[in-house]
Amino acid sequence: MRKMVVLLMAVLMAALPFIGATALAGEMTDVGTLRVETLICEPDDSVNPTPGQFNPYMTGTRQSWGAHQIMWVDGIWEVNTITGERIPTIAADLATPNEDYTEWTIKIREGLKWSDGETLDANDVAFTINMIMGNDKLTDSAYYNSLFEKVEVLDDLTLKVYCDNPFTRIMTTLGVNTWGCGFRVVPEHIYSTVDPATFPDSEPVTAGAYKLKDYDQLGTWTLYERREDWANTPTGMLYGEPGPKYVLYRVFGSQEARVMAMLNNEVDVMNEVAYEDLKLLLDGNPNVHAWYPEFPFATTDDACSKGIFFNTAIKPFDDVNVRWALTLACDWVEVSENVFEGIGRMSALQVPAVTAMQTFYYKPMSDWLANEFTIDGEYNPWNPNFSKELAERLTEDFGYDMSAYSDEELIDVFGVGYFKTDKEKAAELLTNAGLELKDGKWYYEGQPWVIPVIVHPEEESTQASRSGKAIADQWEKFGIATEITTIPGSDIGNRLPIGDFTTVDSWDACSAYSIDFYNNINGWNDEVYKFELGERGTGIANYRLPISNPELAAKLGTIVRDVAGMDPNSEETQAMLTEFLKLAFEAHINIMVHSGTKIVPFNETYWTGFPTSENPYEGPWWWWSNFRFTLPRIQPAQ
Amino acid sequence: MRRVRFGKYLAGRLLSWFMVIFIGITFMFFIPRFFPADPVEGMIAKILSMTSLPEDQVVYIRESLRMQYGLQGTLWQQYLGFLKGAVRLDFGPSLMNFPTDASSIVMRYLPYTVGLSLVTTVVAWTLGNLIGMLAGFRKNKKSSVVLEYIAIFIYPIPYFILALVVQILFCFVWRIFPLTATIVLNQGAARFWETLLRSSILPACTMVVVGFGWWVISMKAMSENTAEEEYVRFARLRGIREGKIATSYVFRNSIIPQVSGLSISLGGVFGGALMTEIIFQYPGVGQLVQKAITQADYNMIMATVSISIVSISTATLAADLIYPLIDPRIRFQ
Repeated sequence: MRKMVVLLMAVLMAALPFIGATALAGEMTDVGTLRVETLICEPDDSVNPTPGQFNPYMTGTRQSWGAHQIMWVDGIWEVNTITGERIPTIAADLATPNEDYTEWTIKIREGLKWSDGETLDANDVAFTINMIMGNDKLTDSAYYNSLFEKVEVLDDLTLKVYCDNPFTRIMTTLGVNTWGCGFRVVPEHIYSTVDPATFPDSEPVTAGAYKLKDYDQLGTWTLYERREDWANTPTGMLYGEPGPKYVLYRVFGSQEARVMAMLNNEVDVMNEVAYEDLKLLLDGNPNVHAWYPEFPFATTDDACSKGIFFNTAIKPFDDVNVRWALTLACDWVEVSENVFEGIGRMSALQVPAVTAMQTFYYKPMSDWLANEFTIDGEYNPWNPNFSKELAERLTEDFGYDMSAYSDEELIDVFGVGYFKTDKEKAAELLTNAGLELKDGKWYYEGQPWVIPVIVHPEEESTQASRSGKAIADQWEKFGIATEITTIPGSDIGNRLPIGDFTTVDSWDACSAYSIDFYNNINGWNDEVYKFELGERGTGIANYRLPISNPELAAKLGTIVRDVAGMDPNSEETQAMLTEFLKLAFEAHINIMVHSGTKIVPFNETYWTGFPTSENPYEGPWWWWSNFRFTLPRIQPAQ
Repeated sequence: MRRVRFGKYLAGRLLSWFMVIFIGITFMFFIPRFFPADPVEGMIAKILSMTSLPEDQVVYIRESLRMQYGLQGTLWQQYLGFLKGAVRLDFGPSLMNFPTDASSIVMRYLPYTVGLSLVTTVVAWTLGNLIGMLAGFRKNKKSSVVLEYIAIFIYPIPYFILALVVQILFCFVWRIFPLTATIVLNQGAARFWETLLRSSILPACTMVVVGFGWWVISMKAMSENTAEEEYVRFARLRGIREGKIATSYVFRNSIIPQVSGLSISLGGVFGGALMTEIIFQYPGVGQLVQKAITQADYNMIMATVSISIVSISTATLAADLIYPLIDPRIRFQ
């Protein structure tokens, strides 16, 4: 049915040149602003049922409607998602620890103002931390109390945070790592007079370069206006005046309506589209582009890999050789083609192969992967030539001309390599594990072997869902029956902690953009995780699943505990985390396919200067908090 | 004597109305509790889909959300609390929009759902029955055959295909109407009605077009059969005018089951028009229900479905009370 709809739209798109879609200087938006002064973005959300609620500490407040991108300031440090650089925003510099990391001194940027003209200083930052710690109805209250003892204001521009125990990650707790940060400094002069757990904050006083102008009471749009005193905001001080006078966030409904809206120039930036929709956009509007101007179009720097993971608590998936067999049984080029026609950087390690992780881990580990690692003392499952093979097949299958790419460029686009396809070895490993092949079908304990595969609905994660289905398809071709079930994330989230699954699609391997990904692996601490099938434990389910080799599990746990106390930016930490990745690769509890692949279309009819592969000053994550730093680079196109 | 009989009839209907509502909302309380989804895990999944957090932070968030959402206490205690609240239309906070009241969110969107669905249902019913009546009563006329063919052609078209084609033509190619509904509430009454009308025309037209086909087909079949009845032939032989036969004999007898159908359709207008809301981004409760179910937002499910249960049973009650007025046979029973 979806194909039929795309076909219908394609026919109508063909008529577009005759219709004419031009930008008019005097055109108004439907919220009453001049179109040429208004950047129109699509929120990473559906209709907002709480449109007048802007308190960042209420769980029902919709953050993705521009609030956390441009109105609040997330954390007091931002991150550049391409270079990994940590950028002080409300803070004036990086925080300084004492010797044992129990005290942190933080300097606050001078000259910051709230949108009502009041001064933003260390008192507001300290007040916000104390407010969270002092109100157990705020979601992070217990967590902050477990970390911090107290906060002391030394002067208007300096504060000191005292920790209960040595704590090395204060800048990842109070700063942005990827999407944003739950810590948002609020104005003391407002929040000290209200209950932060119930105050809706419908006329927000904020620290970002934009302030609330208007919103739809039915929750379909929110309009922001550039502050006249933008120079007194972190964005203004760091990058200058934001280009658009207004930024309008609005929803466009169905997938088809979204595509038509961009073809009609009714939206400048869209959240994420499927590859087939991007093709329609590129054919129908010459001003639309994505990260790359041509194939492979998408950025692959979203910091969570997508793939599948196994319930290692149930047989035969507790046997690592069975998991390796299921890996080698797949034609990975075909899997990659079936997800997004080959778009995506292969991402086999326990961190996603984003540009920063390619530099810090994937490329330095290439030699180990290709020449040192074995699964049974002699067999190496790594294919270092995967990128070249994929490029050749894409030319054969889809006609994409990849001849201009050097080997190095292919590695940047498709990754440093990936798992081999070796069906003979897969059959050997399964046979050794006690499974039988009869008439082309695999049997386990005398019964046909059926692997249940749970996937998310495509509207929740197209990439994860398609990865799960593509892998299941390969298992079917290898003679293993599968049962695919599509289940909403809320249900999956309920099943994982009790181990109520066999295999599930996932975004299991995440990271930030620096060498430190401790926050993403602290669930691997074997002294903390406990797992008993059918019982809810604590922590993230897949990390608590047993690793069949207790010695290996202990080594992984030791590294996690050691890294917790180390300087997150040191070379020693990088070396330890490299060792962690090697051991996790050996444990092989999941098969991650691509790093987060996002097709983000930009329309340059009204605005230009968006980040691209040719001008990668930032990632194209306009629904992340770093979008605030993109806005000064965006300027009128006409 | 007649008054006493009507009193008994009314009391019986009121009792059954009350029981249907009570049993219905009781089911609606318990059914979501057996959903495999969990609102706390749903919220955590939502948070983790945006940003990754350290495991210990997730543990604390989970505990905090359980406390905030008030999911403690036995099921019986929760049920009693729910019944008390339901009487006051207080279903507690929407868990996914915490701490905003589920009822206040539903009440914000309900007028649009009811307005659109009510108008389109009544228009489709009226139009469909008139055309069906003409097509059935005057079945040998060319115009009747044409009208019937139009209805038969339109009826099987899936709503979303029709809506999409209409949207592509009127919003994308000719740009007469907005792609997505924009109803302006804060710039005066004139602007509100202008934007409401502009945003509602296409959703309403598509709903009427898809809805009226069934009424045409069913009314045509019934009026055709009724027109063959002996009392109609007898009326003709008595020399009664065709117009009088059409209205007083055929239409009046054929319309009775259609009124039942209308009352059921009217009860359904509170449930929301999900496809319309998604395709035209029209405000309404349909998307609220959909999201509430997938995210296990118990309170929102109870708020939306309870209103629906009350409205459907009330519509059925109204139909039961109207029947005696239009059908003398029921009046005499």
